[in-house]
Order: sequence, then C-alpha cells, then structure tokens
Amino acid sequence: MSLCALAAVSILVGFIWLPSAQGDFSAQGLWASICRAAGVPAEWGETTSTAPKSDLRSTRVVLERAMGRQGSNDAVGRGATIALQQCTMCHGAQGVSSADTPNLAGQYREVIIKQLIDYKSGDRRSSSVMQALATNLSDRNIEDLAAYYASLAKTRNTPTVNIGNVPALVRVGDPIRNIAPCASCHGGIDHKLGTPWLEGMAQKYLQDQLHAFASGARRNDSHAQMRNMARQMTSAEIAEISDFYARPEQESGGS
Amino acid sequence: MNSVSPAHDSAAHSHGVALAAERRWSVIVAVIITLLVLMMIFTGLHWGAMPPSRVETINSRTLHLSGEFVENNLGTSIGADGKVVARLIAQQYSFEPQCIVVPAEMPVTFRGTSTDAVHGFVVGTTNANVMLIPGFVATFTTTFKKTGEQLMPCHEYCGTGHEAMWARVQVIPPGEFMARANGGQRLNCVSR
Amino acid sequence: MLAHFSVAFAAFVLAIILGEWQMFVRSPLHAWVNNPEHYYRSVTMHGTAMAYVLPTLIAMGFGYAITELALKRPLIGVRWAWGGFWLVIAGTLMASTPVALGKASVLYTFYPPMIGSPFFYLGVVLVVVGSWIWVALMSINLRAWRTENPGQTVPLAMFGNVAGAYLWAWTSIGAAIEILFLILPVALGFKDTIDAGLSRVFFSWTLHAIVYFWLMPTYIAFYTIVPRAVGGRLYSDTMGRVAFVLFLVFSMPIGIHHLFADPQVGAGFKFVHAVFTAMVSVPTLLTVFTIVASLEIAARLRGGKGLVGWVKALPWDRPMMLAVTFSFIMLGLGGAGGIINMSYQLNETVHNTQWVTGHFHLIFGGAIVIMYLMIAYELWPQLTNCAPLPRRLINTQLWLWFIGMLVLSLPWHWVGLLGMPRRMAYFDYTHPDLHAQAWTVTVSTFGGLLLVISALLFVFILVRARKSTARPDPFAFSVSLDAGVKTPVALNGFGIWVGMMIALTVVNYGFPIAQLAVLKDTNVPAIPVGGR
Repeated sequence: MSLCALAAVSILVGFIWLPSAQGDFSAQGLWASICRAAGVPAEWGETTSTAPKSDLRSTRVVLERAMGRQGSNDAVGRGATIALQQCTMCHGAQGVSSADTPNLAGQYREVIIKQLIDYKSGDRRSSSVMQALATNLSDRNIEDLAAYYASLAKTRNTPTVNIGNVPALVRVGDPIRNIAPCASCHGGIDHKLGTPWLEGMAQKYLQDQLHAFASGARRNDSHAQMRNMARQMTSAEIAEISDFYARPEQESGGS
Repeated sequence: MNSVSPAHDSAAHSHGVALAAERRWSVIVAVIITLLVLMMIFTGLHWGAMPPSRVETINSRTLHLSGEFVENNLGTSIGADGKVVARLIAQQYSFEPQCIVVPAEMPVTFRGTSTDAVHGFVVGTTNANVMLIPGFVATFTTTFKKTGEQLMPCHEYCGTGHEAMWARVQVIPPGEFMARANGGQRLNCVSR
Repeated sequence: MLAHFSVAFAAFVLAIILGEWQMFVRSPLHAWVNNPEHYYRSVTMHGTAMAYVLPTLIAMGFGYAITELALKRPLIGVRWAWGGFWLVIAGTLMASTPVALGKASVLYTFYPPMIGSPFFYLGVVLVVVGSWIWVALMSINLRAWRTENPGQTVPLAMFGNVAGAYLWAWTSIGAAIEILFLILPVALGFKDTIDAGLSRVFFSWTLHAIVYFWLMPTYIAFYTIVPRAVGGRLYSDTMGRVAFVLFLVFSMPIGIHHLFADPQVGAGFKFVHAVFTAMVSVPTLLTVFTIVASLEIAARLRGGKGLVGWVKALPWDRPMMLAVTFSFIMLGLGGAGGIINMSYQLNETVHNTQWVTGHFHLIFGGAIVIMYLMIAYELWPQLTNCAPLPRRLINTQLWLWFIGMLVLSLPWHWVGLLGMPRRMAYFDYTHPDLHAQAWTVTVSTFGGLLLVISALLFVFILVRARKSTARPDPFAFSVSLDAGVKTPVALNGFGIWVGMMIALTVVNYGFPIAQLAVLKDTNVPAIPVGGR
C-alpha cells in the first residue's frame, strides 16, 4: 500500500512537478511535458538555426563494416584489369610503388573505396592526377579495384609497439595535446574501420599527408579526426613518425 | 540507547522495549530519507537543476553529411532566439571542436552526440558532465562562473585511445564573446 | 562450499594483483605503459573476476553451507550443485581466455557498441547459468524443509539466503537479455548494429542490484554470525527479516541512477529512480541500528556500563569484533558517498570521475569483502576440520585490509572531486591542472600494496591451517532476543515481496525499455575490438 503511494507520489513529482520548472519541457502543454519526462524522443534544439556560411563537406562516404569484407573473386579479377590499365604505372605492378606514391598492396578495402570516392567527388584534393583518374571510375570500378588491392599481400607484417625505438607518439600519443597513439587506430594496438595501413609507405608521402592534415589543406577525414591529431604535432615529430612507418626493414617480433 | 539485560527481564518485556527503540529509529530514518528527497525536489524546482534528460534521436552514420552536426556547424554560436549553443561531437579519439569557447556568466546550452562509441565528458571541476551515446543527442544547459581555460577529458572508456582524448574549454568574458559571435559564426578556439 | 571458496579466493588474489599493477602504472611512480590496451585488458580481467566470479562463488558456497547448517539437513541436489560449480568454472575460463589474449578489452561493463570476442560473453553467460542452478536449489531446499516443518519459522540465515537468491535471479535477467539478444548476435556475426542506449538500460537493471546480491552474504553474517561471535544476542530477528525483504523489493528497480547523465532516459524516470534509491538505504540504516544494539548486548553481558562506555567492554581482541567495526566504518563512509551518487543533481559533479571508482572500492572491496573474509575464517574449521586459526595473524590481516582500503580509496574520492576521469591508462601529470592530482594516485598505490599484502596473508592463514584430530563444535548461528515471538507470516515467505519487486520493475523500467526497443534509428554500427 505504502509502496503504491510512494510510487505514485514520486511519479507525480518526477513527471509533472519538476518538469514544470524547465521552460523547454513545459512549453507545449502538460501532456507533452509528461511525455518528454518519460523519455519520448523530441526535438530540443533549435533546428532551424542560422545556417553556417559554407556547406563544405569533409567527405560524403559513410563507412560500413560490409565495405571492409573481402571482395568476390570476380571483383578481384575485374579490379586487376583496371589496375593494369590505370594504376600500375605509379603504384607499382604488385601494388608496391617505387616512387613516393602510396603502396596499395594489402590496403584495407574500405580505405581504398573511401579515398577513391573522395578523389572523385573532389573532397580530397591532394593530387590532381588522382582526381582526374577517379572521375572516370564508376562505383563498381572502385569496389573492384579495392577488392583487388586488398587481396594482395602486404609489404610488412602487423606492426608492434613493444620493440625498439618506436616513437612516443606512435606508442602512447600525447594526451594533453589530444594526440592518440597512432597504433590505437592504425594497427599495432587496435584498428579503426576506414583507417589506412601505414607500414611501409613512402616517407615523403606520409610526411606530406600529415602536414596537409595539420594545416587543414587535406580535409576528407570526417569530423577532423586526423586533423585533430596532426594539428599539434611539431615538424620534427611528423618527420619521426613518417620515418618510423617507412622504415626499410621489419624489425624483430610480430604483434 | 536503552540498557537491556535479557538475563533478568522476561522475553515479552524486552521485546516491547526493543520494538519501541526500533520504531524510534525507523522514524529517524524516514525523516532523513524524506529530507534528502525534498532537497532533490527543491533544487530541481528552484534552480531548475537536473541531469541531462532530453531524449532525442539522431542517425549516427550520417552526422558528417547533413544536419545539425556537420563539421561546419560545430562550435559555439548565438541562435536566433539569443541563446548560446555549443555543438560538438565525440569520436574515437577526439572531440570536435577540439577547443570549445564559451562565455562566462551566461547560460550555455551544450548539444552533442557521438559518431561511433560511447563517450562522455566533464569540464574541469564544473558540473558540465554528460554522456554522448551514438544514436542520441544530449542537451543540457549550464553557466560557467569563472573565466580561464579548463581541461575537458573524455570520461567514458571508448577504446584504446581513450586516455589521450582531452579537449579544452576556454571561458571568456561575455562582452568579448558577444563581439566575436555577432556575425553568426560558429566559434572555437582551435589554432589552425 | 570449500571448492567454491577456494576458487573464489584464488581468483581474488590474482585480480587484486592486477588491480595493484593498474594503480601503479597510472601513478606518477611509473612511466606510461607502452601499450594502453594492456591496461584495459587488466581492467577487464580485474573487473570480471571481482564483480562476477568472486561474489557469485562466495554467495553460492555460503548459500549451500547455510542450507545445510541452518536447516540441519543435507543439501538436496548435490549433483546439481556441483554441476553449477563446474559451469561457473568453465564460464570463468571461457571468458578469461579472450580477455588475456587482448580480444575482449571491453571492461566488465561491456561497453557496446564496442564488441569483443563472443567467448567472453558466452563465458559470462555460463557463470550466470551456474548461479541460476544455485538459485533453484535454494528454492527447492527451502520448500522441502517447509513441507517437513509446516508453520515453523524459517531460520533467519536461510531467509536472507533465499532472499538473496531470488534477488539475484531477477537482477541477472537484465544483463542476460543484453548479452543474449543484443550483444551476442553482433559478436557472432549475425548483425552489424546494436542499440547502445537500450543496452545500457538493460545493463543498469543488473548493475545496481548486483551490489545488493554481493551484500547479502555480508548482511547474513551481520545478523546470524556476528552476535554469536562477539558473545551476545541478536537484538531483533524481525528487523533482520524486514531488512532482507526491503532489499528484495528495492534493490533492483533503481538502476537508472547509473544513467543520470545519459541522454536516452527521461527526467521523470531518473527522478523516480532517485527516490527509490533513497529507499534502499533504509534496510542498511535499520541493519546498522540492529547490529550495534546486538553489540551493546554483548558488551553489557560482559559488564559494560554507561551510555557509551559499554563500547570499551566489547571483545576487541576477537577478529569478528574488529571486522564488524571496520566494516561499519567503511559502510558509513561509502554509504555517504553513495547518497551523493544517488542524488539527482549532485551526481553531475561526480559522474564518471574517479570518485565513483573510489566509492565502490570502499564499499564493496572494503565493507563487504572484509566480511567475506570473516565468513571464510568462521567456517573454515567446519570445512577443513582444522585447528583454531591464529587469532593475532587474523587481526593483523584485518587491520591491513582496513587501513589499506582507507589509504587506497579516500584520496581516490578526492581526486574524483578534482575532476580526474575514469578508466584512463595513464595521465600527463606535468600539466598544471593534473599536477595537483598526482599525489593522490601515489598514496592510493601504497594503499593498494597494503591490500595485496593483506590478501596474501589471508590466503596464507587459510592454506596453513593445521589439521586437528578433534571434530569441530557444531556451527551455531546467533540467537535472537525475540526468539520466542511468533514471526509474522509476511516475514516468513517471499511471495508478496517478489511480487512487489516485479511490479516495481514494470513501473520503473517498463516504459524506458519498451520505448527504446521500438526506436529504429538508434541502432548504430558495432565496433569490433581486439585488432582486425
């Protein structure tokens, strides 16, 4: 009996009396106020706010786990054909480039898909050559290429953070500067969907990309997730990280 | 307390004494509990203080494509109704904007959500403290009393980079804030 | 029971060493760990062992012992009991393996949308199923005794025991639903999305009430062992029953106070849960009164006089006296902290700071676990036929535990008020704002070291217990003052209380769960952890 009374009183207080003290709860009447107090979803923000000046998107790709899954053999075959015609002269016959272009062999499938789409849509502007080439690729071409390159063998095994001279930013990051350890997204500690495999990439390419993120020139990382990391890095640190990932030999130990 | 010596009194008498003492204690307990609850009600009514409880859903996958939480709409601004709103998102492993600027002595409404895992933040030692859950928008209003810079860590485990997820909040004098926010821009204190 | 306790305490020692390592590496005394995932792995293992393995085995083992000792008959279903035990062992091993391999660093609170190896979750499920076998056996045994003893009062120890069992059965359903229906489909690869908000609501169903499940063995010991062990009588058997049934009703439907800062639950429900959380402090306050009164009886029987002077006459050289005093002190401090957490508005200052971690280490690791240790000491002669345990050594061990827990947890509360966030693998103490926090972590590390020493001493005492030739005296529970008084029917059975518990759950949780379950757009992509 007293339990019912207690429940009833607390419900009255919680659902009617207290919300009445909050302007935005009670603005639309008692029933709406009760519903909102119960947790029925409503709109609480002023959604028609004065719009921002430019509608610049960072990327239009929505990453899905399915994008990371292995492609079919047909897709790999078709991708190989396209690669032979358009990619191998810069990115190497087996996806391992001898120039400063990134290695594509073994790169995660969703990474290749996203970067190609970003080049195609103009969200990534770091290479006019890539923008031109990507414009002519259909969505299916892009998926096939990604399937092909993902199926090639990586140049390097899983990195490890427990060996030798791993730079601090790669191992432990710098919390107060909001720099997470590179290895917590790029592999070695854990991997985040859409994050590229970096081991064995050309030093100059890595360095240029980090500088581009730091200055904001490259902005196809949704919600500035890489720009927030690179912004407070010094040039020396960027060089050190790039040297580390580009290092020529696999040092001892696996993951 | 009463002295009880079961060796001498009859069982019924000692039981009666025990009951009386227990009743007294139960009354004391009830008073304490009621006081606590009344305090909660009072602060809820008088200061309008309550934890973030405005339920609102949102699609976490497309936050960067369109809607309130696109990158260019994040930051602190003054709405059409004159209210100060600070919008942010949390992701593995940073808040965007990485440095949030707010005015002192004015109510600031925070609206935030997450793009991936469950995050949360607390601003320094203030009571600006909320969970950011993907799929939901968190809204709460608070007022910062002192100017200065405070740290804003992520306080909910969100993965192996959680320990490096620290943003900052700069509380600036209200006059300075109003001057900067005049043109409708979204302010932040990130150095570019 | 011996098996249950042995495994429980083995896990306890391993977990406590991990806990101290964690404290050490994030203190200023040590450089940052190279791989933060190792820290989170340790936190997952420490939490899982201390929250799921240790207390469950203690409750089960103690429960079986009470069934035999209080009802004075052999346990019905011994084979099933062993089955339950082995399920718990299997589950523990199954869950620990992926954690140790770094495939399930999701902490003991599971953290969807992050998802670890399915074996971690399956292991936890097995542990819970093993404990459900225990629940069933408690119920069956009580029913059998009642059939043979119609109209008789259920012994208090058994009453509390079964109350705890029913509480656990209902409480564990929340996390079970979360694991079976939300998490495992994703972990096994059948689904790619999960509703993080709904998962958290289901987990909150279990998360608070589980601490009352942990607390039951301790409170049973307060009522039925402590008064006898200090040479007194229990002040009131009735009050004990009232406390147990109040726990049964109020423990579970209050979990949303863990979600005060969450955006998926409305203000009305948060307030209602806050009010009912205030109610759950009532049985504790009643217990404190009753047990202190029982102690007073013991003191006066020994000649104690005066309004407060009787305290001096208590048997301070007995381990149980030390233990219950330490427990009550930690209960008082931890309980006060709990009241702050429960309060609708004050929670905002402490949510997810280290205050929370300090709080539950003090109240669970301190007040509750110290009585687990005493239960083990009290029952050890019965279980192993050993000679009386070395009193001075036990007292030393208890002092170490008490001092260690205070040194560990009080600075921890303070640093939470300074704003230090939870569950971070390391901190940059060179920043001026964090510099002021550094000393607290150093001090806590030394407190933790005392706890490790105390834990090792505890195991040492039990392992070195010498066999004795004489049979131990039959185990006796406390006698209460109102032993002759007829117990009200309501306090001799559970039907009405379980009914209230379920009804309150429907009122307090029904709408939030139903509502979140029907929302479609809150299903978010899962995030697998542990490498690609």
